[in-house]
Amino acid sequence: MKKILDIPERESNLQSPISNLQSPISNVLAGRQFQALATVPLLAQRGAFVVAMYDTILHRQALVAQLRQQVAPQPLFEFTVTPLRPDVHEYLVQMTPQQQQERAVVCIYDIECVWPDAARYLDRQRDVLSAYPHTLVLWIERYTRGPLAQAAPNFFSRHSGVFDLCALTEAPRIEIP
Amino acid sequence: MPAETLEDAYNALDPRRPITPEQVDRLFVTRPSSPVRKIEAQLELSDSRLKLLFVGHRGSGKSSEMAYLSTLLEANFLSVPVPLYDIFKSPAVSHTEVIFAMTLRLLVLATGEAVVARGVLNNVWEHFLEESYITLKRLIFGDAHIEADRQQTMTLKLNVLAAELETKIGTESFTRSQVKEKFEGRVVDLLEQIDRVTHLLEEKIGRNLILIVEDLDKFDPADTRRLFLDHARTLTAPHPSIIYSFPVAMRYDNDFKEIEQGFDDVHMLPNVALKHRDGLPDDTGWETMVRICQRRVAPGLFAEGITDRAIALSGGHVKSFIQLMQQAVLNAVVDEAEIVQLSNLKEAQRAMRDDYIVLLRREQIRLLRLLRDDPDKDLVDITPEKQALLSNGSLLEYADERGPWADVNPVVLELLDRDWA
Repeated sequence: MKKILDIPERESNLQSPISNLQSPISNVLAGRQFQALATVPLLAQRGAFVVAMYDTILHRQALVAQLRQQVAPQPLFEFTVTPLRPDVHEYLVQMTPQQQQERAVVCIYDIECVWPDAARYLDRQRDVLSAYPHTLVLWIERYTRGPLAQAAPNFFSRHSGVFDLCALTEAPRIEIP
Repeated sequence: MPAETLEDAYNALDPRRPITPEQVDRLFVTRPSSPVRKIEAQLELSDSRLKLLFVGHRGSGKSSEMAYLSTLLEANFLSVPVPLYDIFKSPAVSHTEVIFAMTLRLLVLATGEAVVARGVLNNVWEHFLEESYITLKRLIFGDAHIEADRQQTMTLKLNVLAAELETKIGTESFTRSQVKEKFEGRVVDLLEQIDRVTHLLEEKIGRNLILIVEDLDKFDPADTRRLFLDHARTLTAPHPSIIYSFPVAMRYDNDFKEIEQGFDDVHMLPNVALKHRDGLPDDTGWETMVRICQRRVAPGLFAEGITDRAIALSGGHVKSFIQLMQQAVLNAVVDEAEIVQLSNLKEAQRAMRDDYIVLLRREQIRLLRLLRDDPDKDLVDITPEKQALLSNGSLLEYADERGPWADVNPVVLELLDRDWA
């Protein structure tokens, strides 16, 4: 098969910085859902909204570290939502004007901590956020998926993928006929 | 040119971006049941300036249809978008602020290069600009002093001031509160200013203005309902024609009848019906969806039957179709495949179905079963429970000669027969 993008080989995913971690997170890193997530920024020339579900902070850190490697040379920025900064749009503050106009991955954390205000901001700001060529990765806990779809329906309806990267509990898989 | 590689296809299938007026020739597909041609005829034929409501579900293609309308009307109308949330960036907006946003947009347009470059400014225009500048400065900044500049400088000054105000009311709470405070009791002044600038602009550009007010779905629904219920007269008072893009949830509100009366007409954009309400195939609708896909992506990028399956799964909801296809393309890229295969689409279908698994409650599943089995599928008694299903996309709305009807989203169908005990 023709190789469309230069996606790093899966074997290399198991190297530093998570080489000291044992399964189950190493299985997630080598898995299809993570590969799909890491492929989005490589494809999306004008950015995208995606949702990544995780189960522990440690696992999330490992996933983000590996994501950073796989999307390079695109920079990866991180933004944590807090009660003082509930508006996701503020991630732009940490970027230079040039960075704002260039492709990048932006990981958004802890939307659950300012619930539902942060989700509502996200919903209202969807057009503003779409204007930048950034792949926004909204990291949520699995139980947040339904409430997010309800609290931020317009943002959610524009997503380019929800990726299940939970290592400790497996989502029930039901085959489609 | 439709995308011929999977990477280009991924970008051509972006669910975040409606079609812009510049893309209409290349991407837009006219669809059955769209009210846009009727709106065009109404606006072109009417002697009065119409105030319309344009209602559609999330992702049904309202913004793309408005872009198409602006190209249809191009010869006789200039469309002026008024994106309320982009201007105010707040959870609610008052009637004064809506009118103020219109004023600013018109002043920016009137003092912008495209209009100013059309010829020498006359005395009436000069006087108007100066007066507008002084009024804004005095009311908001308490400063009415201006130098005796040449008229061109005044044009530039007003342009900068209006643009600056538009930025500041979204970012500075002080400016916003000043606007609220100073203009709350002076809506009549703002309306007068809109009328004057509209007359001057229309005379200069030789076309009528039409304001497209968007973003009302981004505000708190209760505030938006109050805005329309209590201030319909103000919202319909400005001289130009206006189209308000209206949140669909409010269409089923008990107060809608009252709201509706304040406007000249209400137009609904239904989804593209793939079958008639009796279950027989609707070939026109199906062909519309095929063309939507072919405008974006070359058919050779999909294995046989993929497009048809994705169309069927979308239920004629355009954004769901785009989303499904984009995710199928992503899956194909991860597989390092050359074209999208059935397994890639099934994976995308599973992901979309999972969005509904976490969204739907048991009683909603039960109601969806009843609606699936209803032979009439009429949308007459819209209970709050049905509204919730329409709002979350598990129930899709269509229209035919008999009126609005609805059917269960095909992605959700397989969940209905599952044992949830």
